[in-house]
Amino acid sequence: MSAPENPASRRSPPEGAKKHLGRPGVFLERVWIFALLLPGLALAMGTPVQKPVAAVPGNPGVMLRDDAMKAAPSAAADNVAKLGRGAKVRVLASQGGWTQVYAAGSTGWVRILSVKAEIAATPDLGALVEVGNRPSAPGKVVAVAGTRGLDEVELKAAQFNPEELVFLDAHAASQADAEQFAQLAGLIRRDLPYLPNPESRTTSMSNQP
Amino acid sequence: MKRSLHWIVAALCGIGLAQAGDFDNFLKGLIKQKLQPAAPTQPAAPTQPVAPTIAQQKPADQLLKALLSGRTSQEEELRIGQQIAGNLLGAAPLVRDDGLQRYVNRVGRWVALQSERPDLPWRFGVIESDDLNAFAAPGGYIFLTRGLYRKLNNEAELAGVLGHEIGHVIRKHHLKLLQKSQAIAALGSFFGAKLKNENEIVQNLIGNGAEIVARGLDKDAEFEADRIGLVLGARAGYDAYALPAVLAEIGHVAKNDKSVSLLFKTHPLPEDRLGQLSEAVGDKLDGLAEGQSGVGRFYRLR
Repeated sequence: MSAPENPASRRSPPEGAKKHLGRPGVFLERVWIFALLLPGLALAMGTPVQKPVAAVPGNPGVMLRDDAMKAAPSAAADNVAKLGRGAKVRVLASQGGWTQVYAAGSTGWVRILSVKAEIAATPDLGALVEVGNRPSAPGKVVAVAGTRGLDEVELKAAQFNPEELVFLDAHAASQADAEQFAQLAGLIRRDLPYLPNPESRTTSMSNQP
Repeated sequence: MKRSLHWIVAALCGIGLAQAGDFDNFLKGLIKQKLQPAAPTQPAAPTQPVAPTIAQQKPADQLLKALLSGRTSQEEELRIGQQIAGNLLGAAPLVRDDGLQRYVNRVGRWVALQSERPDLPWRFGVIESDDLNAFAAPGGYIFLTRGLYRKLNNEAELAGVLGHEIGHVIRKHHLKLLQKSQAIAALGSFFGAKLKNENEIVQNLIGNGAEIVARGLDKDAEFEADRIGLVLGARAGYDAYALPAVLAEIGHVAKNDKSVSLLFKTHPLPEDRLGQLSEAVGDKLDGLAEGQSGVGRFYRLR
């Protein structure tokens, strides 16, 4: 239970992309192949066109803020490149609070919240074939009939239901109950101050000469 | 609805006359009347339409003054929350799964214990709706839809979602919205856009309860709740990046999908929320040890 779990399992790119992790040679080779596939480039160089296996590694992503690309998943690691907000990247893997990306010819790590993985576009003529290899989630049930929404009209027309409040109260957890639950789960309390509003910080900074 | 409002008007007159200017007592009495509409002590017959009389208009002015200076005690906050929660549950009842509800309450209470209001009687519930949404009401009432629960991958994500709603409660976002709408109604009255009768004042006071969650908060309140949700989840020992992961996943739902229509109407779009969180976090989590995802413990819906 308390063993560190890998959050990458959720956010990780498909298997094909993960293979590149720690093997930049293979990865760069793929990129090279991709470059050769660009028709203009291929013609200019007179190189024979190869059939694509994986056109581009990883999944598409976009930078949410300016951040440095690090050589390793650590704030102390060397800077490899600088990525600006809005820059397009390829998301390769994740580890702890870090995401491995490829952008502008470099591979490195940025803070997980500095990049947003975008949903892969509809597979287009064999490009991005790896996206389709994602294992399906058999546990996920898709509701097909009897879908029940909750819109403004229903909320405004709602009638007070005291029986539901009784059911709600019956399942409440006391403080002791919650603390015991957390202890059994091995959840460890940590100190972390609230995050200030970034907009008010920007304002106060812009006021400085 | 109209009928119960008439009852309130009758109650309001009595209370308003007896304790003019005492907003606290007024509110207590008012909500008590609303919660127990079948009480035999009601002075007015519900079947008779109530036309505003001079006697009723006078306490209304006093009420407006009380509302403008209105400060709410924790007890009143709870009453208001109970009213809103009871109405919301009238629209979407709790999922009849004891294990699920108990689990969500334990996770939620543990997260709420990391906040500055650990002693509120926190209540958490999963409600019957396929929409993706979550709601908070004053006093510590928090709900998420079955549809949103189904989207979650682990306990850390649940903690993050509940943490966001806990943020609304501890910063009293809905309570402030209620007070603001009272102030606007009062000012409107002062400047000539006169309210017709007490019915409208009462409607402005608590509305139908659940209506306030359909109205939504301003986007800064949502961004603030995101920052709080992330921090509370991390303080509770969970993966700090779980709430952003949920936002990213919701962001992948088509914007015109029916299941997110109310969510996207009342909240900034997920990409904007992620952008705000990204700026707020910056390098502030660099030193934080990796938290738990609690994926093995996560209660799976039947």
